[in-house]
Amino acid sequence: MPERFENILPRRDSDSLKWNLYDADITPMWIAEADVRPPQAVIDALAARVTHGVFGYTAAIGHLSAPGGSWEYPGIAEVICARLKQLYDWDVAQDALVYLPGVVPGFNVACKIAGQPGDAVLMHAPCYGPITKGPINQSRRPTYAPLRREITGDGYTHFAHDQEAFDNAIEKNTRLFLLCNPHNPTGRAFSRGELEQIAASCVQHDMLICSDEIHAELLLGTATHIPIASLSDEVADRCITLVSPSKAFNIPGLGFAVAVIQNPVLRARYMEAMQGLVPSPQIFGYVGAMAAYQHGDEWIAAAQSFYTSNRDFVCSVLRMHAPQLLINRPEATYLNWIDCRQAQLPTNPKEYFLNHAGIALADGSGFGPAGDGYIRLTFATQRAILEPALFAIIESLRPFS
Amino acid sequence: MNYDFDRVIDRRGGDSLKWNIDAAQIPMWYADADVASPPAVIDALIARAQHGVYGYAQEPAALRTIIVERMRRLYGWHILPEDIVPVPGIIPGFNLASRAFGAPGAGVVVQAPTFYPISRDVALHDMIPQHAPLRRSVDALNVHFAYDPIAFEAAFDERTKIATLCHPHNPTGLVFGRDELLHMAQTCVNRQVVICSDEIHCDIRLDGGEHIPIASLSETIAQQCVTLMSPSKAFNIPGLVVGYAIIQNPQLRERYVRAQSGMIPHPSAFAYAATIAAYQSGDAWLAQANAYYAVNLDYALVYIRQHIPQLRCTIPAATYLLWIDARELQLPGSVRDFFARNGVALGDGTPFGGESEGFVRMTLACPRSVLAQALDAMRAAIASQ
Repeated sequence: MPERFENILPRRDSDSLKWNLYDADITPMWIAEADVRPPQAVIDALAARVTHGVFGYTAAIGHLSAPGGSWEYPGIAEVICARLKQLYDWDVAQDALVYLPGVVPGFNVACKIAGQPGDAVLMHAPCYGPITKGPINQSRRPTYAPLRREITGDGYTHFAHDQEAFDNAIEKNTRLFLLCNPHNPTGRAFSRGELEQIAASCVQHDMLICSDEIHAELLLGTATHIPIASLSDEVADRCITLVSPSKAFNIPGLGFAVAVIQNPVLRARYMEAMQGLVPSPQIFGYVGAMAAYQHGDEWIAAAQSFYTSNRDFVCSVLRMHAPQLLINRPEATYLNWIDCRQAQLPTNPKEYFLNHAGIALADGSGFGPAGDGYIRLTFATQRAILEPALFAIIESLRPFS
Repeated sequence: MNYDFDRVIDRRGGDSLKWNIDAAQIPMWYADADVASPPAVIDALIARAQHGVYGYAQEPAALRTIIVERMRRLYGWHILPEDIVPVPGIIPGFNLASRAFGAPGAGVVVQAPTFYPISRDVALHDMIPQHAPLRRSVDALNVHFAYDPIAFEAAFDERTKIATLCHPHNPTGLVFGRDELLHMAQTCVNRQVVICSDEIHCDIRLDGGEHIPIASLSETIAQQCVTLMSPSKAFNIPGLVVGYAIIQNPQLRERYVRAQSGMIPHPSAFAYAATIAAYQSGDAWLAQANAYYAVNLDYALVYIRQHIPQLRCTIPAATYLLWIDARELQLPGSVRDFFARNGVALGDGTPFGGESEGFVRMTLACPRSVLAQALDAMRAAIASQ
């Protein structure tokens, strides 16, 4: 058991959005953020860079690893490309990287360059809420291919790519598929077979693919991640892959992501669409990403085992004590996607658990058309917080069992 | 307390865009300073770094109060907390104004010369830049720029939706006076044109004068204004990517916020921590920084007059930028390239528009020893030409 993650951090007294949006008697499990400190190397690198004292316009070149030290190399581009090679055997050239202050601007820019206003953008349903807003923000039409829900032998929900539904959802003017892999909120790490089906359809219909892979390194148990762009050169040619250390290393507040765009024509269009609107990452985004990728591997292995153990705990507790809630068993992410419809709650489940269990969850209706009646629960917290929260949920269901 | 602006801090080969150039060149091109931020800013950043959790952050409660108070104290300008829209830098700030208040084919009044992302980004939104040139004159020693009310009015037509202002003015260092601002504002108010005023350099005054935000002139004018400000130039934190728009008209503000449409992130917790520390505790440092830059300006002007009299310079009242007219050198090619070949990286004048071929921009915000090296290299380059 990785004990270092079990210290409860005094987050309510900080600027944490997660811990301050609701009253102090509410346990926050809504936003996708972990209650853990990032690798010490990240904290040290930030402190070392602050001590330098000059915070000018930033280029991703050298970095400092100690206060008062001299500039060190490699730069962030080399580190990211080496990581993509090491994790996925994916060969990406440094000039394919476009730096972003987060993945949300990343998929919005993809929508902005997809065909013309009024053209369709396809997504899975359910889908991470801000992704579903991207097409609307950029005057495109959101369309959905539902994931197929199955029930496993253990009684968990399992969401799978449904190729027939996918092909049926593609229209004449569908220009882009916004993939979320690993998938938020269902926790799927899509298989090679699923990704090949998606890619084949996108090639056939000449659609761009923008793949939000922010959860790629948040794998649970023995799951693996495959970047869709790594399938073949033909697929890579139409891909914008969004990579970020934010979730895996729990540094979303540093605001750093990269769009990997190997096709130079597509990359030029993408960068032109960013111009003037999407700023560069701030200096500490580069610094944090650099330290996480260079020195965070041992930490992330421990974090994955911490989250895996939490997943197993949530799944077994809710299966045993709240069978009326249908839950998934995620392969990736630290999120449970919970179908509350059989529980026959008198109100919207998010409101119900907020008012009757004191737990703030994410409302499933914010995850596209297939989300009504669901909630999303973030289990990336200490067992001492997680356990009472689960029992509060279970207790609140008692009147309806 | 006296702050040390003479200390040379190693940025070469690090993470600085400005210093990411040929090692043989002294970088005087980018508008950031080679000085450490105020100790209060560094302390606040150390504290935020040592906090050790970098999750999604709320905007600190103190931020708006501090900005409101600063506007009141420095400019007698009364704004409300809700008038403030944080933005990740000034460039997204004025692009949002273009998205919110413009439309393809609409006209945008742009002073010329001007900070060129303003004119470039007008084109990005398929709008038409309508140039209102500043009046330029030269004498034996200097080049002068002045507001030209006739040219300003002449730039407007029925397509005009937005007038951009850069005040204090980059690259000329010009500060517009109250009467000039009133004339600009009245011209815009009469035509119901939105004023987008980039005031990022407002805290850097070399002449001891006081800044007048155009929106502070009257309540009627304020209703027509988007004012962009930031601690990034004054406290040398452009790498933190922070700024804010002040929009007192709720209809304009609503359109401006809506134009963000998923493209524009919030500033980070580090940016907010630095902003608060700078505004709360940085003013003594700022006064010394301004004084240091003013001496640098004098040093450069005297040096150029004595040793490189072929160059004519502006005498900036604000900004740490020197706008240099090098036309008398009659170089066959680009002035920027000539000095770059000879060890000094200056900003190319041409992209600033307004017939700025033969001009270069020089950033004076560095230790005096670095400035002296750069000037020596420029002198030697011209002598050996």
